[in-house]
Amino acid sequence: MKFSSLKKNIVLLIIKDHNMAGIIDIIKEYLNVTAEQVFHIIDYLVRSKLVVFEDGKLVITLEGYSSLSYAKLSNITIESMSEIKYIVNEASLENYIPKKL
Amino acid sequence: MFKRFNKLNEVVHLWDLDKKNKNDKIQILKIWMENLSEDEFGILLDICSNFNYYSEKLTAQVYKKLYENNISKPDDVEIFLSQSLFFPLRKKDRIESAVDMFSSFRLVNNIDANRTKIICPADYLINYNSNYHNLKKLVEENDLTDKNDNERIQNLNQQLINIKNETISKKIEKKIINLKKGKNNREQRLNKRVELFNENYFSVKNMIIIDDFIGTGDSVVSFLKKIGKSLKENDINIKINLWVIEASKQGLEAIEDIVTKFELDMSISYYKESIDVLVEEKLFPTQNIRDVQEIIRGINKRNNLKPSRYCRNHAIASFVNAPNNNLTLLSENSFTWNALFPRTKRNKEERIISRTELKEAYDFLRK
Repeated sequence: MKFSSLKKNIVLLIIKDHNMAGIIDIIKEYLNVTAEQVFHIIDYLVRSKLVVFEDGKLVITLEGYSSLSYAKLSNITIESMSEIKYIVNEASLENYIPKKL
Repeated sequence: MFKRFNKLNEVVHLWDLDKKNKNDKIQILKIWMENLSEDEFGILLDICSNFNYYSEKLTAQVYKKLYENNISKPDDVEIFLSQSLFFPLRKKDRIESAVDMFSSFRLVNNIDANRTKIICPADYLINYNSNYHNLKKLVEENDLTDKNDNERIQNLNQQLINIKNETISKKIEKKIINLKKGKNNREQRLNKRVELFNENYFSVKNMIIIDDFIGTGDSVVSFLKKIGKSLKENDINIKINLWVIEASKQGLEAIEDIVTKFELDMSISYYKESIDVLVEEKLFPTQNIRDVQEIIRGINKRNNLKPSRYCRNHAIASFVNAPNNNLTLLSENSFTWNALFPRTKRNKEERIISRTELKEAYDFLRK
């Protein structure tokens, strides 16, 4: 399955922050995929042990959390993404050489 | 007052809700308590204490039980599953409300995503039908072309025996090779289509449709009406299995009628029968039922709550939504009324098409 780690983390964030009612719609919306594809994505996450289905809910495992931590995403939510302010270290751009001039 | 507040708390604790939702329900019941008479509130509390709330956990448990009950029936489970496709009972114009429940069913029973189809079951059967007719025509045409090609190859082979001229012989040989090549290519293309048809349609002997509640049975009936005729006319050999959490007697009867009418091979399996809370001897004794009905009518009238044509006075909800067959005051809001388990309308809003747009579309079609 062709599934980037960015997409994987987006789905993990959605599962982390949302109730079961609506998870499929939200994943569909964010990844622009069909409901059947969402099922395949969830199966992949379950097989990878990043997510488990427990007491009727999809829950992120410790491995799932470490995947988010590794990507420095564990403390943010999908909804708050637009509010995040990025500080760019301009000093590092001084040595930037464009490939083509 | 204190006694009523205690009962209110007890009722809310019957439902498997998280802390926030529990507090929300307590608040709503408190508002009811303040605005209703003691009798009215008492009756609503009695109804609420029989309200079935299917939380995520309970839904998964029920779906597991339903699956296990049904899966124990066939002789060979592996074969049964390999010949089955699972569908949510989903209408075209509805946004995924049925899919969340279906997802719970799928996850708790470890159903392979490849064995699921998220399209309207009626559309699947319509596609089956059209694919069957297209492929049937293609196979017949191919058989005819094949027969003609075989005859031509046979004739050319006959000519080869009699012709001594090497140039002409080579030409004939080339023609035979081309004919065989074309035949093989055609056969390969057709094989692929037949394989797909077999995988997606012909090998499917069971359609398992998963839904939450059957109230009036309207959605199932309209689906069966849509497919009944084509199944009967086209010899499509598929058994329809409908597995739901709750079903009402009236809904089951409506479905039964249509199944008999179209002579369909169909079975329905449900976990529980939904009850009409305003029918005598269900929640209230016969001698009280008229008073109860009158009280409910009064609350509805005061709060401008109008029961819809689907209302069957049920008291159920799932973590996804509340059905439209519930007792109106349990699931419908008004300016003066807060529903306990409000029904969210997830239907897609239709876009209004202007006359100019329509005219442009006509102009394009008539061009």
